[in-house]
Amino acid sequence: MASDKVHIRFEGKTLECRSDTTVAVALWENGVRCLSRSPKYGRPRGVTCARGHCTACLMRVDNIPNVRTCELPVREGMEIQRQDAGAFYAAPMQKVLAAGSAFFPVGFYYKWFTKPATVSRLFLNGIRPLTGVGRLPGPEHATRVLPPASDPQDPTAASATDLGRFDTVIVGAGPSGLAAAEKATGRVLILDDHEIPGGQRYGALRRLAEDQGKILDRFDVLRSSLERIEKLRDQFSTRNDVTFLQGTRAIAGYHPDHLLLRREDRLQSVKFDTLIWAAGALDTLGLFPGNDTPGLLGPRALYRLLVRDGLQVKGMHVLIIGGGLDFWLSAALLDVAGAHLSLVVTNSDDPSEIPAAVDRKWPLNTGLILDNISGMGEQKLRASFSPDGSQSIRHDSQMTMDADLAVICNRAKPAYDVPFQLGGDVTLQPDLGGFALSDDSSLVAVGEAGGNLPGDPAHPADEVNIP
Amino acid sequence: MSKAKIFLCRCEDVTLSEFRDAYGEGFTELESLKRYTGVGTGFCQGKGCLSEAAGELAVLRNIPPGEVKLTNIRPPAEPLTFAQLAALDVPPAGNNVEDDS
Repeated sequence: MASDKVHIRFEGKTLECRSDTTVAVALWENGVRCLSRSPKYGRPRGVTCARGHCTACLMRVDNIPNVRTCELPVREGMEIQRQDAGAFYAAPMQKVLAAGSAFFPVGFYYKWFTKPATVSRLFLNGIRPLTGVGRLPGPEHATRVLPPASDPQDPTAASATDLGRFDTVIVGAGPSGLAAAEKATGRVLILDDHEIPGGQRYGALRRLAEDQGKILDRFDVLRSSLERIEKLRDQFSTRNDVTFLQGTRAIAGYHPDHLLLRREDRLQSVKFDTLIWAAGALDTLGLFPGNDTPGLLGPRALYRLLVRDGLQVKGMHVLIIGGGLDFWLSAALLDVAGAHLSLVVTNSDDPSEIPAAVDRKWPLNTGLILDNISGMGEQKLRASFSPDGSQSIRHDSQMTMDADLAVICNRAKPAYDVPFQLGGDVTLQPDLGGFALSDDSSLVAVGEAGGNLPGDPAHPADEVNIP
Repeated sequence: MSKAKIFLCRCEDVTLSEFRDAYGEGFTELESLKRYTGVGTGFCQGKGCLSEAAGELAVLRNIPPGEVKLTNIRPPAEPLTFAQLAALDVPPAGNNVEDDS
């Protein structure tokens, strides 16, 4: 992929990077994976969600703190600094901290240090530069005003920030959102944080369809998934009466019918009679030792990094753990991108794809469970496994695998926060992966948010029920 | 590198064992556990951890998952700047449900 080069400044060094990517990926490709340190234990953190949700990629950019670098395009001359990653978090200082923790028992209240005020000020002035936190934006940003909405082609974006009222607002333009749009009547608005409708997997599936080696023909689950999305996209493209907002996400709900949307830096407000919550699921990495190691990703983050940001993985060793549609999609996508794969199938509900994987000469392991993952320096990680007790394959004892990158494909979890804010009935439903919205009169959950899995033949996305 | 920890909440660095310890100290609701441990109070506003924390709590209390009460999640669901809010023509109106805790 040919692209222009730009230069960014990172902690005193000048780095060259592609012009069509994000700051987080530019740093990764220049060998910087640790973008921040965690607040309590000072652990290295790298890009994790790749969609602006988590803390891991927050950096100081052009003197503005807490910028989501996983979503920020690079620009010539940009000045990037890590926050919270100063000398305070170097290994020797960690030992000093650990020794001092005996003086801070459970129940210790930090405000005991607020008097006398002079001591408090000295303490804070000393501690803040050490940790790298607490530096406010420079005064030049105090009156920073947002630029006008940029896209004059899109009437809704160019006009005022109030979009008015719609009969139906659909959040998410994946397969289930598109299926819902097909059935919705009246004034309909559909929004998605991608540039085109199709959902989180669509870009990755398109990339496979362009592959010369016709990898899609080997994996029925992937080809049928793409065909279903293409069909829904074709139907949707004839619906001139439906407004599509690209690059937009719902970020707040005000009871009972008011949504706040964000597109890049700009907010928009919209009201609805019926909300269809088809927001894509969130990656679930799972609970195991070292589950915060940089280089550990969920499949949806992988799709964004590879397809949207063009992360180069040629020659990398990648470990893929889990099962299901996202497991095979991740493997195929990484294979086409030139990575060396190691597969560990821990969820063998779908063994039908295994022969195709063997055909592709992907090293494949079964009968293992993941024990832990640890970072091996800045760029490598090591995963340890033990036998899961099934007798299909014998493993003597624990085994380890080293990789540059690990992708964990677990059952994803629904997004539920905005429906809850709108007064929706949100309960913990483990078979859906976590908290999820239960339908009521004006709030309807479809797709992965509502248990109708697009990849699940028992619940085809085009059979969603809209009241 | 320090001994591997299991992170329940990455934003606020809350480990699974800290969450279990807090439960052992008598905090038995997700709301009080959130306030005590900080789980779900970080930049991601619980997107990364509250479902997992609730699942763990259901196991600790030995209750059906459906009985774990979600904490009150107030809008917005992600951090915004004042500049972003000030650029809105129409400020958000209406009240959040249950804004009494």
